This record gives sequence, structure tokens and C-alpha cells, in this order.
Amino acid sequence: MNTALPVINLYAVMPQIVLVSAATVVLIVGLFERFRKGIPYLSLLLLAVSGVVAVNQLGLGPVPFSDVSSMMVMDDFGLVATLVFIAGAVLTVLISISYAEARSIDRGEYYALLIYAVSGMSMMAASTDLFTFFLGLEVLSISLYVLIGFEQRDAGSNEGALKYFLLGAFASGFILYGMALLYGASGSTEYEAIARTLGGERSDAVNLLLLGGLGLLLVGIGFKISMVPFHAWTPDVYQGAPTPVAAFLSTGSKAAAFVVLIRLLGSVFPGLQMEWIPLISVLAVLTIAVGNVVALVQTNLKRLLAYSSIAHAGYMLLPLMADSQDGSASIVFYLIVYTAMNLGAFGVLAVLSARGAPCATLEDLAGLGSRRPLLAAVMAVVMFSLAGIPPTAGFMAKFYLFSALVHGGYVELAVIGLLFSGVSLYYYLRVVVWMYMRPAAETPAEAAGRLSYTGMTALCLSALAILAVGVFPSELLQLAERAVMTLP
Amino acid sequence: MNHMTESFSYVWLIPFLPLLGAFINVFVNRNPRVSGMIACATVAASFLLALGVFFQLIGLPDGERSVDVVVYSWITTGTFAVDVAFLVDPLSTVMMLVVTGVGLLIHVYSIGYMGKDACCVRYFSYLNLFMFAMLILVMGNNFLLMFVGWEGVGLCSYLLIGFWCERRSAANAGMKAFVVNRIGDFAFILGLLLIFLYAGSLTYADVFAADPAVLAPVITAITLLLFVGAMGKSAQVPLHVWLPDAMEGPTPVSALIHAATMVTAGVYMVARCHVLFAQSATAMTAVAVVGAVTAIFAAYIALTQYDIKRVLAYSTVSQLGYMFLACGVGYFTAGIFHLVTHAFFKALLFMGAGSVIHALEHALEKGRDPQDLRNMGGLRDLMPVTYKSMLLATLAIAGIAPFAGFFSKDLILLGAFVNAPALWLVGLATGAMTAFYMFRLLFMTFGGETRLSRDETEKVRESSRVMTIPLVLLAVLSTVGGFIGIPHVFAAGMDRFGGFLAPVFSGLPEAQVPSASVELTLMVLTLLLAAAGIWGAYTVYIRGNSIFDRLVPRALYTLSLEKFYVDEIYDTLIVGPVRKIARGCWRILDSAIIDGGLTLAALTVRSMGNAIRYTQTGVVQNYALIMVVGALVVFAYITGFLGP
Amino acid sequence: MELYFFLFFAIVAVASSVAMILQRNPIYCVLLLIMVMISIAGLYLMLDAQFVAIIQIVVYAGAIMVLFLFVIMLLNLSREEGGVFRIQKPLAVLLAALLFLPVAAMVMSYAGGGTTPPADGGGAGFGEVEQIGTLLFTKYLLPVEIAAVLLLIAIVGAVVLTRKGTVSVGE
Repeated sequence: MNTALPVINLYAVMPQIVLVSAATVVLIVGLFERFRKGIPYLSLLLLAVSGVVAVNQLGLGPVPFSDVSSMMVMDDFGLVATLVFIAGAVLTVLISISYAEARSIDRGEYYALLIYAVSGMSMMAASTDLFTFFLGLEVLSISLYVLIGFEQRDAGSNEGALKYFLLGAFASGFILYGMALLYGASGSTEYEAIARTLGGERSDAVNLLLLGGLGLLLVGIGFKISMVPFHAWTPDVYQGAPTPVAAFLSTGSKAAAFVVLIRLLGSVFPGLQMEWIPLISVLAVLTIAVGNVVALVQTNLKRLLAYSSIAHAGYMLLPLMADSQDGSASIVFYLIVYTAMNLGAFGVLAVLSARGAPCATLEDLAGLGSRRPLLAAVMAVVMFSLAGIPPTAGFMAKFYLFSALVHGGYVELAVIGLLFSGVSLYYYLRVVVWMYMRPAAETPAEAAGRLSYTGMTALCLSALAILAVGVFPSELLQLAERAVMTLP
Repeated sequence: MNHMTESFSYVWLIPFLPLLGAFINVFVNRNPRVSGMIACATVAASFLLALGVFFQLIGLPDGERSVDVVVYSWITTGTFAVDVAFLVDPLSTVMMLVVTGVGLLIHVYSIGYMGKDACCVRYFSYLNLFMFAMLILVMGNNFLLMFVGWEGVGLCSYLLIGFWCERRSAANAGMKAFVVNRIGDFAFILGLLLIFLYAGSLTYADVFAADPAVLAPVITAITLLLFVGAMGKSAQVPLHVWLPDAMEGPTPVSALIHAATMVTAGVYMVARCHVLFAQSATAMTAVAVVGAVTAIFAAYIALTQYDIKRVLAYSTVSQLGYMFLACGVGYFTAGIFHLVTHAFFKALLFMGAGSVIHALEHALEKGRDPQDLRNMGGLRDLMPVTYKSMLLATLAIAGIAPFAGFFSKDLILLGAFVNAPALWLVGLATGAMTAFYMFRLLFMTFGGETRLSRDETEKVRESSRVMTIPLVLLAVLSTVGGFIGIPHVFAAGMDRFGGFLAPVFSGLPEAQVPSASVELTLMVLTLLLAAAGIWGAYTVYIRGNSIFDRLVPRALYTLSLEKFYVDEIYDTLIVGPVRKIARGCWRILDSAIIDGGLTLAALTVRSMGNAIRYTQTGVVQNYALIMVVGALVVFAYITGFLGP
Repeated sequence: MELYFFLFFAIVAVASSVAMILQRNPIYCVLLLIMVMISIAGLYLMLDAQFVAIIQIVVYAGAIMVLFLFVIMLLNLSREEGGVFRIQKPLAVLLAALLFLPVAAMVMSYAGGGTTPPADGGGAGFGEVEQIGTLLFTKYLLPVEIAAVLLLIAIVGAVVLTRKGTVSVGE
């Protein structure tokens, strides 16, 4: 039997190919002990190359992977998302260097898995088919399970990995079941086909299947973005994971799931809006409330940031309701800013706890303002930005997000969001208070001596970016808008 | 119009220069002695530029005195465009002059007051940063830029209140200030979103020109929300609680931020949005009533306080109430006028108090509070310059003619009399109380017998020149500052201040003016009441007559001394329960898990006690259980078992 | 006839799964899981999916489960100790049942609705190696490639997590 081979367009998946190859190169080079010191820099270089590839493809319009089935598409949305992931990975590598060295986890596999994870995210972002989405998700998840447990000698790291693995597998089960139902209803795994089924005449039974499938997908994706009530793993895992990995986990993997959510809800399931809008709004409000309220009483910094990241996921869920280009663009913009902010916050902890005792609690920050002025300044900028105080990027992101929401007619949701974001100020400021307004302990927990140059570079870069985007947000806003323009 | 924009193109330097100063002090300068110079120089340059703007503006015809200067386009998206642009008009120019002028004097004073502090580089960079934010606030040509300044000044205020980090109370006060302000900011940004939603823009020119019919359904909501924002920033009842605590900061900061400039931002905002406020009678009434209530409420508390800075803080709250009263009755010019004169005399009062505290800090024995009025007395001859300048300021705030406060307060009371007689009575009573407590402060500090020991008295010195010269300059302004707005009754056409601001408020209905005889009668009445207040203070605190002790019921006195228990009420009603809820949530969701001492090690070490395994093995399974519950709810809802 | 086969495989599959969950001895658990796999392979056969059925037996029942057995025996795991959290188990059963009900209702109503099943393949040669091969190299080319990457990552992960200390070639 002769089969016509499909015409495939490798160009359409170039960023993913480059990322996977980059990871593999890092993996192989990492086997040689003599290159050990150079691995992170090689990773940076290769990430930069992937970034350049993605940038070059911007604006070249939607190109599907093959003529037989689309599976993945190259469009601005996926490319911008990929760029965000790459930027997050670059910062993660930079803050990892000294941390990994001090804990002797600076192996090639660490950086290779990081880049594999990015490739998984990128696949998720570009997917137009449940199949590739799920595979991308697993590429990401498996890399993360291993990265979280990378500090084998640390019980917390092992525990975190096991928890994330068990619950992650559980969540994957929900996603798979949901996909099965969607496939059953529409006879295809392609987003477009599912959307077609939704658009046309459909019996009650089919409708029910579609709804059930969507519900189960939401459970699984909700787990990845730590939406209440699927958030319980977040603080434990962040606390246990190596700090740079926690940073990556709280930004990249969350961002990837959000990107998928935008694509799914925006272009596949608009037909079921009547059903999912009330659901998501309730869950978003719950997420915001739980995240912010519980963060108020945290004294462990990683747990505090974990609850803060839960709250931010809640904010980002809100504009989904607005169902507008503005709404989606505001999520993309928020994701970009959030990546810089959260990597900055975790980065400070990573740089501080690279050597010596880990910087774990608020008390450990006491007197940081006089001990490490630059680091404290970065942390302060990041905290103000997370709290949404102008002129930081966090303010711009929140403002854009809430104005999109108000524009969509959801004033009451905006009110609730703003109210809780007011509450959040309390715990962010507490960090600043501890750094600047509490005398240092006799013997600070962290080791004396120079802080890692690379880590500080990353932190200063993110702090500067946060300030710069706060003052000159236009370019980035336009990028976010351009990204969502290509969505159907 | 274009060439005019160009001729004002330099205005961006006015806020930028202090920012530059802050940058130099943070990143370049390490020398504490130079830091003050840098800070002062940049503010002085800004002041000169503001003067330039002023003279350029009065050279223009009335109709053209409003220029938008676009620096760059800030946000441009599909639905939404905002520029970083400054509005140069009489109102913003007045604010620029006050902020940079008074700010400059306080910067100079700070060199004397803070120069020996170990962290004075940090201090001056914060102060400069504050100037930047405040100037952005008053100069922006759109609400978003105003909000940036609004939050910026709040941030600087918070940093400066908590400046002395060894004092725990300072950090707490800073926190409180920021959190209370945040309530106001929440309302403010909500107002902005509503404006954007209905007017489709955030630029003043577009919003104020918007068709009232478009805004009509939400105008009351918008203006009330904006006003709540103003209440937070300008410490109006019931959001006033942060301002007295803010006195934990260095005294020049109290003078600059918590008296002369930042706290008046709310008044500026209401005046700037007068077009919107005028469209809602409800909002105007709310502004007037809140202003009047705050005025008398804070004045009443000020009657019995013993901390010199707290008296002044409550006095500030009370005077801000006056300004809102003026705006609420439609006398926006009067509100801004009082803002200006108040900036003069209140900055002076704080700096005078600072001078006294500075002197007593070195003189008093350990354990004696240099801010407590009961530890002062008889300082008149020891600190003559401070005494004389504070006397002038006290006369000004008491509203004695012809000092600055007289003119502005008189205009406010006139407006209240015409539009809201009941509020006028409140304002009148407040005036008498103001005179009483201010002279009480003056007499207890400088008059009568000294309560210092002989050793202590010998150590009291008048402050250095760098501190007294700003005092003298402000004393001059407090004395003659009122002449820029001489009422019509005395000399027609001499109300230069009103004339200058007229183009800004031209859209408002013509204010009713009572006959000259009524106006004069009112003035006399005000003066008589102020005199009565002064006489009362003299009787009690100089002559030592205990007449009030016998006349006033104890309860009324306690209520004032304990500030109406507002803090305690908030603690019980709001702070306590919120904390409890948060802890409750945390306990349920979190602490059982960490307190269980969870490590995987516990699982592998078989000999571990049963208790630890109990929580440990329970955890992941419990999490999964929570997820299933969630999934069940989602599923049930989405498939229509619960929902539609 | 077909119905009886179906019932047989289905009952064996469900019963073995339930027994596996209830069983405390890990070795029995693995053996029961093999039973589940085999009966599911039987179900595949009935759906004309011979290739998948064979793969199911070779890979899952054969390779993976045998590996499981080795590992369990090597580690000499004894019985799992029970009674950790008293209401956890009944609650879990209850919730799982609750979750099962709507899904079952959904699938049942769909089957009753008589909608045509999705037509991905089907027809002559359905489920045979040739057709699967064709699909894998045309329509599902990209997922196959990604799955390859996924496997590589899994291998790397397994090595990383089990390796003690850092040993590298080249030294």
C-alpha cells in the first residue's frame, strides 16, 4: 500500500526543535567533567539562540505543521509565549549557577532538564491539538518532577518531588479523561474540530460530553496553575524544591498552563461560555481570597511566595471572563511581568541561600537593607511590584488587567480583585519592613562574602526590567496585543 | 497652541531634578555632608523653574493659561492611550510653587536637623524622591499619572515614617499609614476605572469635557470613590487614624509631608476634579459634611493632647477638614487658598516644634520625653527666634487678622455661611477651639514657669542658623501671605489669588456673595471667637485657673484625651477579626501540615512515632481528596447538576 | 457470544482492579494489575485492535510489570501498614463513586443517543499494523517525535534520581 507522505513544515516547529536540540547538546556536553563549569553558560548561549529563532519568526503568521493535521501551529501567540518561557529560563539559569554549585547539583542534567521543560512549555503554547498539548504537558511535568527532586540529599526536595509527582499524575488523569470525553463528542482531538462541533447543531448528549470534558480539563489545568481548590500542593512543593527550581515552577509552568487556557477557552470553548464563565469567576475569586488571606500569616518566605503566586493566578484568571482581545492581551502582559517579579523574588532567596544556611523565614531578612543594600533594593522593588504599586510593572499589569475586566463589564469582579490586592500589600510590605526596619540578628543566617555575580546580574536585570516596564510599558503592551491578534 | 507647548517644554525638569538628586544620593554620593547640598540644590532648581512657569503663565491671556506638555506616549493599546504629560495651568502652578517652595525651606532645615544622623544620605534621597512623586501628582495631565504620584508619595511617606528603624513603633506607624491609605487608594483606582469605562479616557481634558449625560449614571459613584481616596490621603474622619501616628517620623518630614504637601493632595484632587464634583450634589454634600465633621472632631481631640507633634497632627487633620468644607460648598478657590496659607504656617509650626524637640533632646535627662508639653515651659527667652516665629504662625492658624490664616479661613466660613449655615456654625466653633489649643501649645511650651530642671535649662540652646532662617522666612510668609487674596469688601480687585485661579474654576456657577455688612459682621464674629479661645488658653495655662476642670465633665475630657477610642474600635472590629480569619484559614490549610514536621525521612525511618506518619502519609492523600472534592463540584456544576 | 466475552473481560478487569486496591501485599498487587492489563487487552481484541492488544500484553503485562515485580522483590517490601487516616478511605470511596456517577450517566446517555462514533480510521484494515504505521508516520508524526523526547527525558530523570553522587565520564 502506498501512502502519500504528508507535506510537513519543519519551519513551523523550529523553536521547539531548537530547544530540544539545545537541551540534548547540554545533556551530552554535561557528561564531560572538564566542561562542568561551562555548562550553564552553554545553556545560556543555546537559550539565546532559541530566542533569536523565535524572534525571527514573529509576524510570519500562522503556519501549521503539516497539511494532514495541524497538531501545532507557529503563530505570534505561541512565539511570544515561547520567548517569555525562554526569558524565564535564562533568569533561572543565572540564579541557579552559584546555588547549584554550592549544593553540587550543577550537573549537565540539571540544565538540560530545564531546557527540556522549556521545550515542553513551548509545545503546549503552540499546540492546536489535545494530543500535542498533553505530550507537551508531560514533557514539562516529567522534567519538573526530576528538577524538584534534584537535591537528592535534601529530604524536603525529595518530598516535594514525590508530592508533585503523585498529584501531578493524578491531575494528568483528569486531563486525559477530559480529552477522552471531548474526543468522544467531536471525533477528533483537534481544537478546530472540537470548536466546529461546538459551533454546529449538537444533541444534548454531545453537549454533556463536551461540558464534562471541559470540566475535567479545567481540573487538570487548574492544578498546574494552582487554582483553588487544586492548589494544596503549591506551598509544600515550593518549599521543598531547590529555590531556583521553585522560581521556575512558579513562573514558567504556570505561564504555560495559562497560555493553553487562553487558547482553549478563547478559541475552542466560547460556545460554552454560559457554563464556564460563572464557574471560573467563582474559582478565580476563591483563588484570590485564599491566596491573599493565607499569605497574611506566613512567616516562611517560600510559603509566603507560594500563596502570593496562588493569588496572582487568581488575578490572571479574571480577564478570561472578559472574552476580548484586551482581556487575553492583559493576561499575556501580566504573565510577562509576573515572570520577572516572581523570578526576582525567588532569585533573591536563591542568591542569599546559595551558601550557608538557607534563607527561609522573614527573620532571616532582618537588617538586609544595611547588610546587602543592592539585594535588598531589588527585593523591595519586586515586592512593591507584586503589590502593584506604581511606577513598577506590577502596577501597569494590574491596571491593564483590571481595566480590561471593567471594560468587559465585570465591575464587581474588579472590585473584589482590587480589594484583595489591597490586602496583599500587607504581607509584601512586611518583607520590606523586615529588611529595612528591623535590626539584624547577631549572626545572620547567610554566609558572609561576595554574592554570586551571575545571580546579581539576573536580579538587577529583572528589577530594572520591572521599573522600565512600569515607566515605558508601551512596547511590551503592543507585543502582548500582537500576540493575541493571531488567535482565532 | 503648539508653540506654547514648546515654550513650556522644560517643565519635565521640575519633577525630574529631584529624582536626579535622589539617584545621585543613592548610587553615587557616599558623603553625608554633600547629600544635603545635592538635595537642596535640585529642589532649589525646581523651585526656580516653577517660578519661571509662573511668570510665563501670567504673561499669557486668561483663556490660554492651560497647556498640556506631552513628554512621551506612555500606554498605547487598542482601547486605551495615556501619555506621560504635564498640565501647566494656574492650579498646578500654585501647587508646584508651594511644593517646591516650602519643600526647599524644609530641605534646608533638614540639613540642620538631620545632618548628624548616620543615615542622612538615605534620608535625603527619600525626601527628594518624595518631591518627585508629589510633583508628578500635581503636574500630571491625566488620572493615571496622578495615581502614580499618589502612590509614590504614599510610599515615600511610609519609608520616611519608618525611617528610624530602631524604634519599633515607627515601623508600625509606617505600616499603618500605608494600609489605611491603601483603603483610600482602592476607592480611588476604582473611581479611575469607572471614569475610564464611561468617559473612555483618563486625560483630564477629555474627562472634564465629557458630556455630563454620559457620566450621569455613575457620576455620584465616581466622585464619592475619588473622595474616599482623598479622605485616605488627607486623613479625613474616619480614615484619619494614620496621621497622628505618622509623627513617629523625623520632624521635618512631618512638616513637609504630613502637614504642608502630601496630605493636601486630596484637596488638590477634589479641586482638580471640580467639574465632576459639581455634577453631583450628593458628592458635594458628602465632601462638605465630612470636612466639617473632621474639622471639629480633630480640633476637639487636639484640645487635650500632650505630645507637641500630636497636637499639630490633629490640628492638621482639622485644617484639612476646613479645606474640604470649602470645596464641598463650592468655594474651591478658598480651599486652595487655605491650602497655601496652611502650608506656610503649619510647616512653620512643625519646624518650630522640631527646633524645640531638637533642643530638648540634648537637654533633657534620660527618660524624659522631649515631645511632651508637660516637660516644657518658659522656653521663650531661651529660644527667642523659634518663639517669635511660632507666635506668628499660631496667630495665623488661629485666624487673627491680618495674618495669613485669617483671609483664607474667612473665605471658607463665608462660603459655608452662604451655602450651608449649619456647617458654618461647626466651622465657627472649630475656629474658637483652634485658637484655644494652639495657644495652649504655645503657652505650655514657651510661656509661664519652666518645668525643666536647672541643669536641663542650661543645656537648652537656640537652634543653628540653617534651621532658624527657614523659620524666619516662613514666619514672614505666614504673616503677609494672606495679602495675595484680600477680600472684595476691603479692596475691590485685590483678590489676586482668586483672580489667578479664576480661569481654572471658570465653569462653576457664580458664587453668591452676601452684602458687605453681613460679611463684615461674620468677620468680627470669627475674630471674637478666636479671641475668646486665646483668652481661655491664657486663663488656664498662664494664670493657672482651673475653671475648666470644674465646668467640663470628666467624660468629655477623657473622650478627647483618648481620641474617641477610634484606634481601639478599629482594632476590635476590623484588625482583630481579620487576623483571626487569616489564622483560622492558615491552621486548616497549612499549619497542621508543617507542624507535623513533614519530611520524607520520617516515612523511611520506620522507628518514627506513629504520630508523624499519621500526618505524613495523610498529606498527599488528603490533597488528592481535596482535589477530588473540587473536581466533583466543578463537574457537578458544569454538567448542570447544580448550575443552570 | 460477543456480549459474553465482553462481560467476562470487563468483570475480570473491574474485579482485579478493586482487588488490587484492597490488597496489602505488593506482590499480589502487581499480579492483579497484570490481570487487569490482560483483560483490557482482551477488550481491545474485541474492538478489532489486534496490534494494540498485543502491545498491551507485551509492554505492560510483560515488560513493565515484570520490572515492577523485580523491584518490589529486590527492595523486599513487606505489607503496607494500614489505618493511617481513618476517614480517608471511606471518604475516598464515596467521592470516587460520586465522581463516577455523572461520568457514567454521561457516557450512557451518549451511547443511547445513537450518534455515529468518530470516524478516525475504521473500515477495512482498522487496527492492523499497517494502518497504525501509516497513521504514525503521517497524521501523528509530530506526537510520535514528541513522545520520543518524552521518553528520553524520562530516562534521564530516572538516571538522575537513582544515581548516587556525581560520576562523569571523561575523568
